Amino acid sequence: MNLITGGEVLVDCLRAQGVRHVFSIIGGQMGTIYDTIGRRDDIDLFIPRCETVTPLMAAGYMAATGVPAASLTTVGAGVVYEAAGLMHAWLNYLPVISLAPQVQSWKTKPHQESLQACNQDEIYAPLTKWNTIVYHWKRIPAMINRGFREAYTGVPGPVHIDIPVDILFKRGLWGQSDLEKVPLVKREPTITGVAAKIEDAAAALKKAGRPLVIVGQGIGREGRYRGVRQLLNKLGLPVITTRFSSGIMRGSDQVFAGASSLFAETDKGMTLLKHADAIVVIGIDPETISLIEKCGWTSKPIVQIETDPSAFLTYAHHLVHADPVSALSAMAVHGIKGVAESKRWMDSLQNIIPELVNELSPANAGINKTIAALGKTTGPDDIIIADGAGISPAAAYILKDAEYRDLFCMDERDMAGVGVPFAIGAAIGNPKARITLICDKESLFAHVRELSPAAQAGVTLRIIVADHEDAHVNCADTASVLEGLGCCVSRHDLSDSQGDISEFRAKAISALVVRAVPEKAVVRLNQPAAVLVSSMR
Amino acid sequence: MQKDVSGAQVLARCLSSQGIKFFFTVPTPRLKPIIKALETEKDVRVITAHNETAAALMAEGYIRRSRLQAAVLTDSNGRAISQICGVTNAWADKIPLVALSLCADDEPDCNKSVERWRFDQSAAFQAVTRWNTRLTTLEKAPAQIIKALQESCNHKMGPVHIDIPFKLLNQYVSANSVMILPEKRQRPVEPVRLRAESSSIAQAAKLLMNAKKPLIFCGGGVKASEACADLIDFLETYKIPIATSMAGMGSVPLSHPLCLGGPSYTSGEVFHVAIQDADVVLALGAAFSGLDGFGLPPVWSGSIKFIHVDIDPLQIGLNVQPAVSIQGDVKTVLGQMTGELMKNNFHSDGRWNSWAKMLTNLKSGRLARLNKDAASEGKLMHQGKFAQAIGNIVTKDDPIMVMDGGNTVLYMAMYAPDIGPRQAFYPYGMAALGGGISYAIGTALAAPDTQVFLITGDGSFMYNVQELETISRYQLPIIIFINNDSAWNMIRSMQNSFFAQNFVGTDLDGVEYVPIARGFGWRAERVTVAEDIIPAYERARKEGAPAIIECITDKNNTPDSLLSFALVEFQGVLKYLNPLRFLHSVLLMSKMGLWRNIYQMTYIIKALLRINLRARRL
Repeated sequence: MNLITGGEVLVDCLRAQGVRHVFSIIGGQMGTIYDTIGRRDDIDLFIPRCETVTPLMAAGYMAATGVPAASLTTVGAGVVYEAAGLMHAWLNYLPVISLAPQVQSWKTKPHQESLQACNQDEIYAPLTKWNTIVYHWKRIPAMINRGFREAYTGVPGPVHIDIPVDILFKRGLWGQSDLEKVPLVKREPTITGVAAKIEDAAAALKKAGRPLVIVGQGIGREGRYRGVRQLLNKLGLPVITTRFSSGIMRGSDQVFAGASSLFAETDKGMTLLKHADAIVVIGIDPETISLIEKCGWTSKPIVQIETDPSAFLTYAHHLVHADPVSALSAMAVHGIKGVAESKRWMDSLQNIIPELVNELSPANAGINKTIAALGKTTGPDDIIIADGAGISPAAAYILKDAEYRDLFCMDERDMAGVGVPFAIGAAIGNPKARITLICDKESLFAHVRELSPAAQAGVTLRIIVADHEDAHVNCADTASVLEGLGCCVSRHDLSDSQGDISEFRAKAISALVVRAVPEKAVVRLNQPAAVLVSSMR
Repeated sequence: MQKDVSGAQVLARCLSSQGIKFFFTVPTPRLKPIIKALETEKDVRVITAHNETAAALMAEGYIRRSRLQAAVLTDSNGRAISQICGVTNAWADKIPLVALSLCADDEPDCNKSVERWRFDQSAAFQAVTRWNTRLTTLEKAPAQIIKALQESCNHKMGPVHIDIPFKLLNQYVSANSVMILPEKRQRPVEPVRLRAESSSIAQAAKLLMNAKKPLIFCGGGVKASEACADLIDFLETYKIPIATSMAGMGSVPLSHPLCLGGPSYTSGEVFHVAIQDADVVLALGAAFSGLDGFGLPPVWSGSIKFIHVDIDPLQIGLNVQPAVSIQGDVKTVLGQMTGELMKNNFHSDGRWNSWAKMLTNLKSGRLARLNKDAASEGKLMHQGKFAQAIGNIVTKDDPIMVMDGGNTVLYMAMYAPDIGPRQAFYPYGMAALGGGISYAIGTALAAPDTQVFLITGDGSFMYNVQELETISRYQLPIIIFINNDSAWNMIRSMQNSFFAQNFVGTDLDGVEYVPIARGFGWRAERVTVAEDIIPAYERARKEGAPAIIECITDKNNTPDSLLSFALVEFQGVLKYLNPLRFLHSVLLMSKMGLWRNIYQMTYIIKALLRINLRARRL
């Protein structure tokens, strides 16, 4: 037993849950936490330049590794910056662990004009799955454990824990035996489901002529979804993915019919989708619900597979309370594949996609070709992140023939520029993977500052930017800004259409700035570079 | 009935007719209809930023300087929540910001169901707004908007938030069914002239007349009430010494013989002796926040009798228990107090001169020491010298001064030149880093004919660095001075003093800001000695374009006022530190100048224990 501070207990508890990285900007109240992290070699800090991105980096880290990371921001001022990032985690069902110190517990709530104090737990209440204030040193382990449990159980989501400064500074006795009492929260529960319900669902699907599976973000990113992909291929039903579940299915999957946003945002796509006569919903997310309502599928047979019964839709007919692997394995036994004889239905879904891509983002023809070219150079170690209007919804299709470890498409409607911090988090978490961010200028600029600390920290990251020259919106030269922040930049002026994307790699952050002039926007690949990689600071 | 106006047009009309003429936003496809409608309104300007946090801070900076209301307008969800940083600053500093955001059409879902986009957006804003609402129908929208604007500018002042369901923007209604009030000019933020009860004024006057060592403590309410001139008249008539809170900085010229110096702790031992020795304190529009020691022991004497004047009754008695509570507008109350004192035929007749003189002497001593500190030779520029150089430019050119940072703000306040009430801006309530560039944009738009300076730390500079492009786009000739000490230095100083120099996560070595600025197409230069700051500024000024002057300073400088702050903010907490490691810290600090550190550690203790020898001698 040692006499240690609350900050040290907190770090012990985070380590017990597998946390190896904390994304944070320091505040005085965090003194003991930083002091502890500085003296340990099994946990690291990454210091960005604004708290908004700490949860986004933690989300990217977790997505790339399956290992949780924590977001730690200071009282009041830090927390209100962080709120927007946590909001993204809330909307996208991301289990982000957010921690913040508070002023002394005897002044925490209601606030009494302490510097930077506000009732931050009230701000966080509506945008987290769970939030609390730890009022006693002894409760730190239990509350951290509960935080992880809340974040990862059922439909995932962010949690926020406030710890007053006196609790973090207070010293008490703590030892190995106490630490052993902190159990690891299982992040992928196995729920086998009720056989009869699975059988009923399978029977309903067998009757359908035009079934459709929608896989959402709720499927999780812990590694199990790879098993889900195999099972979906085995079932043989056409599958569409939502924006955030994009990388779950690949172009090489026979059953993959494209991204839901391509259908939802185009008239032709919607008209076609309305013909589906049975729906399987796995791992629900906002896009799934919106699509069901827009297509008027509520009266059609809906099979919903969920680990969390609170996520069941009121209009779903066949509710399967099970994890996707268990449920799909059981369904496969019932041989639903027979229904896929309606090959015409599958073909009609797959064949319409090029048309939808052009309808949705004609201005992006150039960048789309660059993305497609990128796809030819990727391999099983590549993680691709797409961000920006037009780019994000189309990326999954454009990369249909690509091989990659994972693809994440950000929702620019909810928050601007999530891609940059998400990619940095992924690159920090998985330095062996090759991380590529494809984004437009608006998405890049929202959090462009973060490239500076990433470059300083030696993070390896590739960025392809679709540039434009509309000075009314943005008069800065993208390449110069990136160079100023410490990136190695290749410029591709598409009027000469030259460039070699295969040379687009470096040990630091390298960026390829593509001028998006639609009709001229062609980057020819596998040719010698015209202008490539300037200096690397 | 003919349906001839869209929801976007109705809302734009309502806001514009109510005098909201400046809108700060980040355009999205969903916002297009309302932005388009706003742009067709007379005198309306829509300013576009790169992220919503910056947009909200710009609006706030605009209101702080212009004292005219303005709005931030964003899309929903994360984009709406991005505003919350600016809204919270406005809430803490009582700025009547109008925050507008789109929201989902469905009723908010308080059960946190799987339909996450139906989260209660409004509830997130509730903790940090004076009032918030969700528009229901276009017919009712004008009344809801008027109500929001009234609430933002009532006697309490503060931000309001309005959620606009998506569907309202594209709905059409008959123009006759929507009540639009006649056009107003841009809506000013006007103080409410609330008179205090005469019995309280009589009690306060009696207490003041019998005081032996009175002190005026001036908060941000004095500026909000536009009572600075009245206050100077009052204190000159009765010769009462005056201290200002961080929020009250600029209400009285710092060089005024009765002013203790920099705001709050930044006037060092002068402030500490004054608040230990005073017997009656007339607190005007002061919140008694942590930055001011809460008005409570151990920093303040427990035997002080407070006369607390504030327009917000909830603020009175929040931390200090006043002997006399006066709810009223500061300007009006000062008039009433003067009247009451005259009625009693009261003249101070020099009775408080020796008290004021003792404090003045302390102030002179402190200023001499600060100057000596700043002049001390070191490898790098002393941060005090940096602040002095900026101060000299401010004195000469009279610019607007936006400050951003931790120690940078403390140094600027310690070495501050004489500034007027609407000349220096920073978020004192939340002390949030990173609003500087946005505030500079807001203030430059509010005062297009005045030079705007941003004096920022290196950590805070990067928070909204993307908005350098916005400055270029709107051609605002803002000059930014970066105090680059290569650290999050306020916290690094604490790691130095309390954690045995275990500097974790506080070093920002190796970041060069000149290339970053040049990347944005800015003029930028680096300065390493204080003597080069003014010539660099002259060169920048001559070009009339935005410019950055990066000043390399010494990270080992610690403002003494930081320790006062640490002792109050961490009251009851530092005792838990490991005593051996604390001792280790003190030993390690000797490398950085033992005497300087011993002085810093002991001066406040001396002040607290009332054993300030200099004070006694005088």
